[in-house]
Amino acid sequence: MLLKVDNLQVMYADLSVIKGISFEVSEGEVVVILGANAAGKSTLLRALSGLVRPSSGTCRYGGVHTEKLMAHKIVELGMAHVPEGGQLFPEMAVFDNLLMGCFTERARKQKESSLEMVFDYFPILKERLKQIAGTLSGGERQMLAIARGLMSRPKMIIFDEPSLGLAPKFIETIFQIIKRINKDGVTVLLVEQNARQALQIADRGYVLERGKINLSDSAQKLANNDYVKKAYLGY
Amino acid sequence: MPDGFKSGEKLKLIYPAIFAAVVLALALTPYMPWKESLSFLFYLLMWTTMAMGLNIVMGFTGYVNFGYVVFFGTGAMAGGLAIEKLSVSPYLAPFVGAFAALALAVLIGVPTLRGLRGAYFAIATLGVLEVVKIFLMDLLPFGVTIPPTFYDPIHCYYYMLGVAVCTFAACYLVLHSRLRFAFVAIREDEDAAQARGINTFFYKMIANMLSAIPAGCVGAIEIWHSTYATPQDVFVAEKTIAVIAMVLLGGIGTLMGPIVGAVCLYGLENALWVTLPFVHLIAYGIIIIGIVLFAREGLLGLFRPRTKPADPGALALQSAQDADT
Amino acid sequence: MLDLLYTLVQGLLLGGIYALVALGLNLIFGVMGIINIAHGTFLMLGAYTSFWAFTLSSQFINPILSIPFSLVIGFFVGIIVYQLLVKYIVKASELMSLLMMYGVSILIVNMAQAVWTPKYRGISYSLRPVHIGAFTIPATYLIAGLFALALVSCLYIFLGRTYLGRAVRAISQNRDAASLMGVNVNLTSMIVFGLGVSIAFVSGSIITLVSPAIYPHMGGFWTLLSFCVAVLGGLGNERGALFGGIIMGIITTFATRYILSATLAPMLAFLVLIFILLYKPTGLFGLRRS
Repeated sequence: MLLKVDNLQVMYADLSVIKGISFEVSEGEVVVILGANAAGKSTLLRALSGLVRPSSGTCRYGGVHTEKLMAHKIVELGMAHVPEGGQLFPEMAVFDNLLMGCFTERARKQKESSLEMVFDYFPILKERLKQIAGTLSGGERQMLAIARGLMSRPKMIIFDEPSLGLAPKFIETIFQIIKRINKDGVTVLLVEQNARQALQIADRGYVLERGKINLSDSAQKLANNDYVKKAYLGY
Repeated sequence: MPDGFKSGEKLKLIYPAIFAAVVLALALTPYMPWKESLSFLFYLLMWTTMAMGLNIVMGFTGYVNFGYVVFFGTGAMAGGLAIEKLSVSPYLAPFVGAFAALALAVLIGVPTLRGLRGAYFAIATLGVLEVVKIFLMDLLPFGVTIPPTFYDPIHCYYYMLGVAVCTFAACYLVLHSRLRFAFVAIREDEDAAQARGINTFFYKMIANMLSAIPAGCVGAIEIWHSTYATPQDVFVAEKTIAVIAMVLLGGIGTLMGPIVGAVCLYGLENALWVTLPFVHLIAYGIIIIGIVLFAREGLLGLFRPRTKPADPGALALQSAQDADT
Repeated sequence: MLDLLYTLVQGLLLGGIYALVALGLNLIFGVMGIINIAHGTFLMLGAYTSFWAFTLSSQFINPILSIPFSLVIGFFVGIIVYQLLVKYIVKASELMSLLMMYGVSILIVNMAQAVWTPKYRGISYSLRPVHIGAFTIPATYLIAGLFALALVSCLYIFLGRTYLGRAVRAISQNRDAASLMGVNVNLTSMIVFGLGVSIAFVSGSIITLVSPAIYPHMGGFWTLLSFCVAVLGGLGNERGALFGGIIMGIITTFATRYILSATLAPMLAFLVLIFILLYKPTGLFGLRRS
């Protein structure tokens, strides 16, 4: 088991946002977490990558307890988080954003091969190296965010709403890329509102509602589940 | 409601009685055995008034004015000049000082309060202080001298007491009127206040003007009392430091806080000044740091039952910050 | 014409010093959101470092040689202040941190007054003036300006070309994303605070070359001036400091030479600050701060 989350809780002030969640991700899988707005998806991911401290519960990544680690320690363990909206460094050039991706000691050593790898995924970035990240289009920003995540050479990569606000054409591309990243040996945990596309590339899925997991099944069964159909697929 | 205002509500019967007794004792001081302390009490009342004045803008609306002393200095220079050059009676000078400070408050307030928030306002006020000071140093290199025939410490003292009582009354009224709601709304979340239809600029101007008047009065009385001052003497940034420290120490945004803070700090300064120079300023520094780190509600906060986690002072500053981003 | 050119060169040199002073302020604001109102106070300590190095070494360590001392002492002073105080207010509001640094400034200035007395001191160190073509520039002035410009360039190379420098910029642009990249935000903040204070110390040493007076209250002017420069270039914008510094340097040199009397000249920088704040509250090259 690469990631094992057990009864995780997150509080903001005295408001409980994540109310005891357990789930797991095995090596090589694509796992999707579906959920509506304000279901606690982003908070969950922020807790996994160390940006917020869970109030209770455990979280093990590759056998290491991460629930009390700071975000920069968790990156070093080989978990990358591509946050919602990309969260680029808007006033840095594309190239500098990529170099920030290989900030950890381990990733710095593989800088050249990592760059080659991300240019292979996203040839367009190679043409834009000098451009300031804040001036990229929405789709290019998302690509850069994913590329930056890959630069840290993760064993597992977490995506927070990678399709948010993108044109349909781009959404397709992004999901194809995610599938390819997984094929190349990186475990993927994906949080999405765009359930249809996400379930197509996923192996398994969870449904998160009001801070709790209500359903968990294989992606195929979820796609055929009546409740999921009604609530997330729109028919 | 932030519980900082409860001290005002608690004024039932015992408090007015204590208040009246204190004012009476102060009023009778020149004819009492303790009349040697007249000068000490004069300056104590001056600091108390300044602290109450600054608290109106810093405590009630959450705008920290680092150049507050500019109103004091303007009042002093205007009042002094009126006596020296225009032969205005010293009994009218405090009104001249108040008017000059008020005019300056409008002049500064119109541009700064429209666009600047939080830290930017604080820095701009510091810049204003420097500009006015340098300008007046150039204009009045030899300062202002009041003819010695006007020297009258007892009347000065009564004026100071009157201004202090009026300022206290003004603060009390502000806290018991509609103004309080507007000020608190601005302090807690200025954007929300604006969205609710409160003309925030108007109320910020009112707070700014209300806080300028006592400082202007006090400045004019002080120069009457000391008979001589140069711009370097009255536009001293350290005076603002002291007043900010007093407000913070007593409890920012409360009715009694500035008084408690002024009495404690001026008393301490008096005790320390005699033995070692600069020590009282070092103490101010430590007090400001200590209060930011450990007790953002000030001394009054320490004696209040701790039921609510949030404190009004930090909330005020926090919201000014939130509104800023 | 020659006079104009001379004034321009002087303005550039002064601008270099201004840029250096403001850069320290900007780094700290960019990374921590703290307006370091004690910046000038640290600068004053740097000036005293040079003064005492000069006096105690019986005039052997001149202000230029004392710069490395200032650099190191400043860095450690910064780290101590960070560990003792600043650490606890990084997450507090901007105004709370402003008040805290205000307290720090008052504390240090008055300790300096108590220990070193408020009297004015100076370093009697002079070099033969440099003749370039038809005009003459005091050598100390030239060295100070060039040294400041060189240091600013080094800092820009550090920020632009090294992993740590990029991390510093990354934090000021997006704190969360920086920590997701593996940047230890707390440790980097401490280093940046040390660096900012260290820059203030070095600026103080450099200023002893051009300004005759060293006294405990000298920092107040420089704090305000570095605000003016930083705000002119955009608070938190590292590149803005250089633009702001040079613009301010040229404006003040020209104004003192051609327009204003010497007593009114210091007012100019503050007037510029106030007008810029009114025109664009986030500065000319201002950043969004989220």
